[in-house]
Parts: sequence; C-alpha cells; structure tokens
Amino acid sequence: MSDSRPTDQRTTALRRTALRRMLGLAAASTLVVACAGSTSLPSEFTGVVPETTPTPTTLPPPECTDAAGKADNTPTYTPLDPLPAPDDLPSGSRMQEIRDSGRLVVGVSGDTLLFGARNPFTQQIEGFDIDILREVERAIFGDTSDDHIEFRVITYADRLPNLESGAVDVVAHTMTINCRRWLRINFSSVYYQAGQKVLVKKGSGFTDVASLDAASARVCAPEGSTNIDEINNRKKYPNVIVVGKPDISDCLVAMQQGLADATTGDDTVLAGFAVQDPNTEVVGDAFTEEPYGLGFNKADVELTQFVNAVLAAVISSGRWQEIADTWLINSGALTADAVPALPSPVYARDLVTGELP
Amino acid sequence: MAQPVMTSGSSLSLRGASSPTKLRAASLATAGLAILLSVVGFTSVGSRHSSIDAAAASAAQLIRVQDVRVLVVEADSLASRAYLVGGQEDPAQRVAYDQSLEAAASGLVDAAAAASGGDADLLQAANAKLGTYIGLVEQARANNRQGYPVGAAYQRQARTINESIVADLRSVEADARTSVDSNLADAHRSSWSIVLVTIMLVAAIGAGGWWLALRWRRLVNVPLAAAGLLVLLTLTIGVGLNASAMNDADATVEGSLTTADTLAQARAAGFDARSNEALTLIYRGSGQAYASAWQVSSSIVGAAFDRACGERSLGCNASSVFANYSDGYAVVRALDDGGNWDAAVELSTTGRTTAAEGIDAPDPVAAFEVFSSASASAISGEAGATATGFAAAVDGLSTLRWVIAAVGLLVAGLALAGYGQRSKEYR
Repeated sequence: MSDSRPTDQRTTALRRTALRRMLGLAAASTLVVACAGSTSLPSEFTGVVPETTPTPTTLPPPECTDAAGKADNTPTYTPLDPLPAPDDLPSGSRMQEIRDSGRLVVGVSGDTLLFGARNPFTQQIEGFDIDILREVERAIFGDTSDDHIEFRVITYADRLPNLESGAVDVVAHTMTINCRRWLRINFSSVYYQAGQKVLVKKGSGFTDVASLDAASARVCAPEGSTNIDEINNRKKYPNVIVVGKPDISDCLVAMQQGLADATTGDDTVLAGFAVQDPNTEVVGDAFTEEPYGLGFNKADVELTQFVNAVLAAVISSGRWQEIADTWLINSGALTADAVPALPSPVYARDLVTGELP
Repeated sequence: MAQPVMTSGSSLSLRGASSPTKLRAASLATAGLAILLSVVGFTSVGSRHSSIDAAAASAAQLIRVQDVRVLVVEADSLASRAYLVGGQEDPAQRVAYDQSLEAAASGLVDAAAAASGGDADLLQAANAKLGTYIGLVEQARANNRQGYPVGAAYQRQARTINESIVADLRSVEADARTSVDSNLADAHRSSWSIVLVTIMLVAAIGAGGWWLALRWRRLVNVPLAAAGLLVLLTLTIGVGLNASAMNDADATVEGSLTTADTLAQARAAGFDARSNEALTLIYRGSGQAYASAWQVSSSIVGAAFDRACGERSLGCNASSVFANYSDGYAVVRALDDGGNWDAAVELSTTGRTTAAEGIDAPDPVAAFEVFSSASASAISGEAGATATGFAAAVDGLSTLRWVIAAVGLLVAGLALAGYGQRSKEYR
C-alpha cells in the first residue's frame, strides 16, 4: 500500500478543519447520549384532607366536689302534673315545638344489644332504650304508628355534645346519671338501675371480679371509660391485668380471640354480650351503681319534667315491666328475679337553678 | 534505538525519542485505547442493558403490587357492603369477593417471589394479614347474619387489618417507584466511561493520523483512517441505538408506566371510597371519620384521572362516571345526615330510593359499576405496553455490546498495522 504526498498548505488546512469537526461531532454526540436527563415517576397521590370546622375553645366544665360526686345524683325535676295529653301540650313548650315539627330527634346506641342495636334483618333500631323512647313519642304525638322518631346513632363520647348543641332532643344511650354530667345536661328520673359487672367464659371458674383479681386475670374494658377507671383502681384490684380496647364490643372480640379472660362493663351491655356469645356469662354482684337516665339539653327543664311524668306513668301502668320482660327476660339475658328494681324517684331539683336543696 | 526518557514524577516523556520509538508508543497507545473501548463498551452497554432490565422488573413489580392493592381494597368494599345488607348479600358479590381475595393472595405470592429484602418480608407479612382479614370478615359475617352487633367490631378489626395490608403494599410500591427511577438514572449514567474512552480513541487516531501525515508526508494512512472511520461509524450507530434505547425507556416510564401507576391509584382510591361509603352507614352516627376518608379518596380519584386524561387521554370516561357516582354518594350522605338512614342504605345498596320518594337521586350502584369497568378498561393495556416499551428499549443493545467489543479489537489491529507501515521504513 502506497501513501500519497500532500501537495500544498491548503490541503493541510482542510485536513485540520475536517479532523476538528469530526472530533467535535463525535464528542458532542456521545455527550448528548451520556448527559441526557433521566425521567422519573410522579410521586404517589396523597389526596386532600377535607377541612374540618375547628372545635370552638370552651372553658373546661366545672368539676364536682368529692362530696357532690359521691352523693346521690338521681334527684331530678318535679314531673308535670297532670301529664298533658298529646293534643293539649303547653303552648310554646318544647313538647309542642317537637310535635309541630313532626320529628322527635333522639340519640341512641346502634350496637348495644337489648338496649339499642340495629336489627340486621329489619334494619330497625330496637331495644329497651328504644321502647322507652317510643313511650315518649306516644306521649307527644298520641301514637307511634307514623314513626315520628328520627334516630341518630351516636357514640358514647357524642352523647353530651349532641344534647348541648341541640342536634338531638333526647338521648337514650345507657347513660349513667352522675354529678359531672348534671353540670352540662339534664337527666330524667332513673329508668334502669344498672351496675358494673364482669363477663367471663363459662366454666372458667371465675365467679366475680375478686376471683379475677386473685388469678391476675386479663380484664378488658373500653379505653377512657369509667369502667376501666374502676378496674384500674390498684387499691381495690392490685393484680388484675387491664386490657384496654377502643370500644367495649372489641372486648368481646378480644375474649373470643383469647386475648382477654373477662370483660367488665355495665351489666346491661354484658347481658347483650352473653346473648351474642352463649359460651360467656355475667357473674358476681354489681360493684358500682349505674343509674340510667334520659338526657336533655340543660335549657329543656320543662321537657325533662314532661318526660319524668311519662316515665312515672310508664312504671305505674306496668308498661316498664313489659319492656323489661321483652328485652331482658324473654331474651334469656336475665332471670325475672335478676332484673334490678327501680329506685323510687326523687324530685328535688330547683326548677330555676337546677341545684339540689 | 533511543529509549523513552523518564522525567520527574511518573510522567513518561517521548521528547527527544527516536521516530521508531515514537511510532511504537503511538501504536501501542492507540491499540490500548481501542482494546479499552472494546472492554468498556462491552461492559458499559451491558450495564445500560441491565439497568433498563432492572427498571423494567421494578415497573412490573409496581404494577403487580398495585393490582394486588386494588384487589384487596375491592374485596373490602364488597365485604363492607355485604355487612350493610346482612343476610341479604348478593351471591354475585360474594363470588366477586372470593375471586378478588383469591387473586390477591396469588398476586402476593408472585410479588413476594419477585421481591427481596424488606419488601419480601412486607409482602409475606401482608399475605399473612390477608388470612387474618378473611377470618375476621367471616366472623363479622357470621355474627351479622345472626343479628349480633359484635359483628361490627369484627368488621372494624377487619378494616384495620385491610388498611395495614394496604399500607404495606404502598410501601412496596414506593420502593418500586424509587427503584425504577434509580435504575433509569443508572442507565443514563452508564454512558460516561464509553464516552470518555471513545473521545480519547478518536483523538488518538486523529492526532496520530495528523502526525503521520505531517512527519512522513503521507496524505492518508489507510489502516488508521479505516480505524477512525470504523470508530466513527460505530460511534454513530452506537449513539443512535443508545439514544433510542434511552428514549424508549424514558417514554415508557413517562407514558404507559406513569399511566398504569396513576390509573391503579385511581381505581384503588375509587374502591376505597365505595368502602368508606358503606362504613359511614354501618357505623351510623360514628362514621364521620369514614366520610372524611371518602373525601380523601375522592380527591385522589379526581387528581389521578385529571392526569391520565390530560396526558394520555385515558380514563376520561371513568372520571366522568366517578363524578356521577359522587353525586349519588352525596344523596346517600344527605339522606343519612337528615336522619333517613333506611333510605340512605337502600340507595347505597340497591341504587333505588323507595324509602325516600320524590328524591331525584343518581344511582350510585350503577354509576360505580360503570366506573369499575371503565377504569379497568382504561388501565388494561398499560401493563402490557410498559413491558413492551422496556423490551423495545433494550432491543439491539445486546448486539451492540458485541459489535463494540469486536470493533475495538479490529481498531486495535488497524492501529498496529497503520503505525507498522511507517515503522517498516526504519528496518
């Protein structure tokens, strides 16, 4: 192979230019490929959290003194006497207002079997609390056939706020009458005398809360409840292992899953659990008193008086016993002699101040 | 023959060396660079191929796990609605629930097999949780059919477990997204070494040719010129193929993979919204948290479909159908909030409102079914398109790496031959 000789300086210059261009093109091309930016996937969508109305800051409610807390807080307002007929309700009263609206808005439980629970077959809410409310409905509207009740299923925590805001007219939600609640709402006379007990597995050998404590058993109760406060009392029950759950129905689940040996709560709720799980039973005596009352807005003194009169009539007419028979005895939850007797109502509150004498 | 002179430090100087020595040094340097190109080209293109393959595998994992998430959320949506109607559960819904869970379990096994490290552990844990979820739903169902409210507690626990599974899957999805991005970035970065070596080789050949032409008065050194042309030709083809590969990979990520990801999120959020709708009714009066969750899910559906529809014109129909469903949901909530729970449940579960005559309510049941099928249809082709896109991206790279390796060796030979022609003149 022979080489060619360059002929002049121009040829050399052309070669130099061509070489520079060739090198430049090669470098630029490769750099373009090498330096091209990488694409990436967009981040995951996180969604937009809806704005919520901020809860207005309120002063903490006044506390009850120790003496007031331990005292009998069931005394309520004097019932209207005589009980006005549905078509003769006092003009301008809350009862007449409710009648005019055609709706009695009530706050109830949706999952407390026997007292307030949705029947999945009929989709209706039913129970002891509901039947008591039906009597109030009957007293205002004359009958219950047109279903004037508007149910609002609410949580335990929502009971007082719903009354205070006026979202509901009455709350019937296995609500214990106590001093602190009286500072915020009104209560009717006692319509059921409940108490805190324990639910255990049949054949477990546990007979009451003391036997559970002696065995250092795991006892479940809803977090933030008075039930868990009671069982957490180390002076009374030093050995109990407390299992907290968000809701008391989670305690029954915990027992069924073997995560708890017992559940403590109001005997009304526990009776419903025993119906739902035949392998469990309520044992021992009540170790607290939980008198249930219907709740009203603090301003609805006359409505409270009206309902007190209704309750008195329901009890004296034997209707209360019929309701108890239906939900507590016929359901097999309690024997007839186990249904607690109602305490005699005490009507002692000042109609203006709401204070006890 | 003069020997190269060592100067201070480690640098090697040929200043003052004889021409044969310089020729030999230039010959060896050029051949060395060519062999280096051969090695670096082979490994660099191979590395790019591997990175794109890894990105494709991560993309497949992302799509696989999202499929599972949609199935798990869909199953919970069906279970929640079934709880709401108690013993009157639609048999077709029960079959759909079973099929969703079966497919989810199978998908979890596949996803776990394709995962490693923490993701594999998460997916195995999710599979175990799925078993727990199924058990809790069955307990809820059994209690509910007997009229026992404790069923709601089981349903709530099942929902919590379901949310935990979804959280696990979202974590794996996030890892898969990161893996796609990092592998794609690696694929882009893998050019640097070959770029450097190629520039050095082209410069060496060019400078060598120039030097030979000036020093020995030859216009063209044919072997060296052929080597230069070969490198440039390979460079051109290589640049084209590499650019095409990265364009295909980028387009796949930006296109079908992003759309698949977006639409899967929309579908999962849609089913979650449907589930929350039922939960607001199951926990009547205590369902505010689920109503808020519905709003969050709805906003995800809206944003996701906006993107898919805007960028790829996909899911536009599903978006408008979800809006119809939302109108129906609004009536369900209005009925429930107004105290007409029965009518709300009836509308939510049957699409009819006989309990609330006179209300002109959109049918949320029919609207959601259309949404479900429309969104499934929109997403159906994207997984396949993603796999095809990545396969197209690496097409040719395997051949290219061998071609570069061969060209490097050939150029080395040509360089030796080219300089050898001048060296012969000194023998």
